[in-house]
Amino acid sequence: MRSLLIALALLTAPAAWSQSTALQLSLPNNETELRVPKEPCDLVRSVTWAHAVTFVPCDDLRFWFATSCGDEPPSGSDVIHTVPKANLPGTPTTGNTVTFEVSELPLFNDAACPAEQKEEEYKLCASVPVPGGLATDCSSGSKNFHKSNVDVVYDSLPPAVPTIDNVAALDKALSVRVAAPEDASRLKLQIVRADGTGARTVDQSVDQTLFRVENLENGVTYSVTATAVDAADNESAPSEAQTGTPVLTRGFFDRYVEAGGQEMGGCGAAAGGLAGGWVLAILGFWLSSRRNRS
Amino acid sequence: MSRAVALGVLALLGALPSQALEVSDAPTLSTHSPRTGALEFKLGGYKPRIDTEAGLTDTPYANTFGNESMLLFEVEMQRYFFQRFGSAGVGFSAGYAEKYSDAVTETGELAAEKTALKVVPLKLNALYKFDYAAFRWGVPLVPYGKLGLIYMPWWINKGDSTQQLDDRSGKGGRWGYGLTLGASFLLDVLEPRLARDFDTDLGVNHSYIFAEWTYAEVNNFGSSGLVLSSRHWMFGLALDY
Repeated sequence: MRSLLIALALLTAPAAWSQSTALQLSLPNNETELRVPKEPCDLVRSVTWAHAVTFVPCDDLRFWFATSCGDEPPSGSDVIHTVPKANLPGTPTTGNTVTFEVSELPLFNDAACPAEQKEEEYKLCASVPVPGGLATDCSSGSKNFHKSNVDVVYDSLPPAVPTIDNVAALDKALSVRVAAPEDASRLKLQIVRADGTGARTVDQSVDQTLFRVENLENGVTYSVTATAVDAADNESAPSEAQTGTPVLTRGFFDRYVEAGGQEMGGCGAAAGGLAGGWVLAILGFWLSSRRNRS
Repeated sequence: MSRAVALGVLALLGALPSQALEVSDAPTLSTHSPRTGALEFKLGGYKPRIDTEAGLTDTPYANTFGNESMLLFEVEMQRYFFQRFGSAGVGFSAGYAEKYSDAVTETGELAAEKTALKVVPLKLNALYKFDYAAFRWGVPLVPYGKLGLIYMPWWINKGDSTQQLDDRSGKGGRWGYGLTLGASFLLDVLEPRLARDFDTDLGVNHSYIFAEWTYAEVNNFGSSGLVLSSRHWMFGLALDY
């Protein structure tokens, strides 16, 4: 009995694997979810699909949104894209795309787009029926499904407000350390003179929370605020403003020059020539002494 | 006390040759792989004599870095051309050292950014090792000397960029020469069997730990500018291959 069960498991496992991997939906850069911004509502996003094995489609390949994916779209749900059975090649295919607009998400079936302060998670489901069991055509009536899905998140919730931990005065620059909220993917720093002129923005990944803002004027006070931006491009409210004033600093080279040091920099070519001359002279002397000896 | 320690060290060194001689009792058929050169890894404190430059009215290195040494790491490749009464050859070494300190404001307060001096000593040496006694009589000490040319690229940073003051560049290279004297201790005498396996498996004939002292004049042969000369000790591991 146990041998029979093992044999059955071995026979059915490849079929199950084939069904779960035959059809694949994927996102750019191997991302695990597609975050959709609050607006514009007609923004088009795309998902790539591929079919990895040779198969006989029994019906169209359909794509739809749901909170969980079944074999087929639930009745009453909108199918956002269909690939007719006749257009399915039946052989392995890659690089196909399915597109949708933000306003096609189920959230907007009974609400206006855009929606404020929402974070709704859906799955983009894809499924195509194929002959079931050991059948090689669809006439038997037995069906299996090649299916796949990816997570799609409508995110109109801005990240929490970041905080500026420290502003350090450097020479013609400021060093600003920002504490980023968890859901941020980028940080933006706005720098403006205390009198309101010369505004600039610096933008960097949340992996680098230390900003170095260059080309500032020593002795001028700057006001600095930070905002956090999430993967769906929602921007937080600005942080509390901090101020900093770049100052002239002296490094080792300044101190050396002030003390009367004569170094001008450069590779020391003249001395290099001298050194090379010595090496050649020694080599010549050695060669001539060997010749004399022989 | 120090005399007692010295006597103890002498006794230990004196005992080692007898142990080494036991090694030479091995079968006369040599199983050593050919010995063509050496590879050295060394570490030491390098303090450039920048403050000795003629005409300086202050001590900028000491004022900035507290007169402390830089930690220097060097790797040296050697090739032997003569292996009869000792070994003679040439060696090329490259190293890296850096020293960081706080920059200061005009009022002398510590600033929020750092300043650094960085150097890459490159050396081409002629070398001689008196290893005859070690291989012939089992004395595990190998005195040696090196004489050669030095070229030392350097650069000075403030913040995250190289300093530039008007027409002066905060980076360059200085030429010079150096003399190194040192002594290696042959580790094979401690674990002869392991040493043989090291040779059979990896082709490493002998391994040593060593200490060496370097007298380096790196000032573009006396011309004006940064004096990167030094008198320093290095310690490391050497592998004959």
